[in-house]
Amino acid sequence: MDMGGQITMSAPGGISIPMDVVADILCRLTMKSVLRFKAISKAWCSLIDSSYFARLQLSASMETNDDLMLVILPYKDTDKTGYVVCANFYSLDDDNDDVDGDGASSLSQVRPRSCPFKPRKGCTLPLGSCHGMLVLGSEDGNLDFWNPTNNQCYSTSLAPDQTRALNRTGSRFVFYHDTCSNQYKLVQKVSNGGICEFQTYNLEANGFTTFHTLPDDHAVDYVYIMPLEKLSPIDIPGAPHSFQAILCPPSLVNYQS
Amino acid sequence: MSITTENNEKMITLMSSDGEEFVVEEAVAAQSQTIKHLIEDGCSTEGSIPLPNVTGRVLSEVIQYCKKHSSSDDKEEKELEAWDAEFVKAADDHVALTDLMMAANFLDIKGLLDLVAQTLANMITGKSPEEVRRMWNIKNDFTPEEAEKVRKENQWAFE
Repeated sequence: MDMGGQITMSAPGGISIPMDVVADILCRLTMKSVLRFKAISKAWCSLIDSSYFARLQLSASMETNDDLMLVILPYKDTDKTGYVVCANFYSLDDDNDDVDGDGASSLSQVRPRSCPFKPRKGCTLPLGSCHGMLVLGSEDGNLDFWNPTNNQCYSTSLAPDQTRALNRTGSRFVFYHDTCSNQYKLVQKVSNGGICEFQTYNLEANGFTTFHTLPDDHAVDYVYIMPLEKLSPIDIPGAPHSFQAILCPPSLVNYQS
Repeated sequence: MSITTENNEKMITLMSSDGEEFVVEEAVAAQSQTIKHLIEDGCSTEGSIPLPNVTGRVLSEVIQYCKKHSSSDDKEEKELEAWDAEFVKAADDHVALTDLMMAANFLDIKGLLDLVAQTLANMITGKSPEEVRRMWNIKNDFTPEEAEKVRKENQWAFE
């Protein structure tokens, strides 16, 4: 996206600042400062909301690795009507704009987070996280894709026949970013009558579709998805033989070998 | 203009927006990807390279940075870091730093851009939106209702 280097937004006579320069400064700030600066002007607000800025910020935080957030879910809470709900989250994050800090956090920084969705009935479990996004699944069939940093959320209720996996033991989930299609994908493994099904969540169909089936005698306990682009041998200096990384491509075709 | 010095270093001339000329070694100027590409495309043989977006005052600072960073390959990283810190300190205020950053952006000098952007980021972190608006004369174009909505949606960031 071209932010247009010549677009400036200054009052006459003052120093002006082009938006691409603003983006370059903002991507180095903590999320708390960035969100506060949405109030500066419409141009700053739309820059911060843009996917261009999201990508810039993501790559900046991957370089430094200093923007990690630990989200803590209590084991269980009970609401007034007696349902076991899980809607209170606590995060341990360094939000005091500690520029020269060593990244150390103390327990006093644990604070409650309000989430944008209603309390869910039944047990809510984090199914996975990727790029700062958290996927939560609850027994009542709700899926919540939540970004605790900016508090944006996409929630969906699965069709009744799709909710089985969420309250069945033996279901395993992976949430990852597929670099080939530039999409976020939620994959689950469901054990069902001696058959082990691998399914991806499809937003349009609002359900899981099976892409691979295995007999359940493999005792597959966890699912790992690796991006295909990393399909290259890894050389370890000094090791007698280079070895091939063991990969689990989305099709899982090589699994049974 | 392409001239060579005694030690056979190719020199090129850079011309600022206000007509000031700077004769620098090609290796120094080529730290700017923009200038490097201009040289590769043969734009420097006809005369000086005009830089219409950069004033002489800013260009002299940029050249100072490029000279230091092209000559200090073998020097200790710590020494270079200390030099960088002094360099941005000397730029003094956010107006000079903004000029420098826009020049680094236009000339495509990654090291300088990172250095100045980080300095400006440190400067504004923790500031209120109003303080940042004053720094760069930004007009608040939100209606009171819109401003309230943005604030409400991001309440924790204002606490």
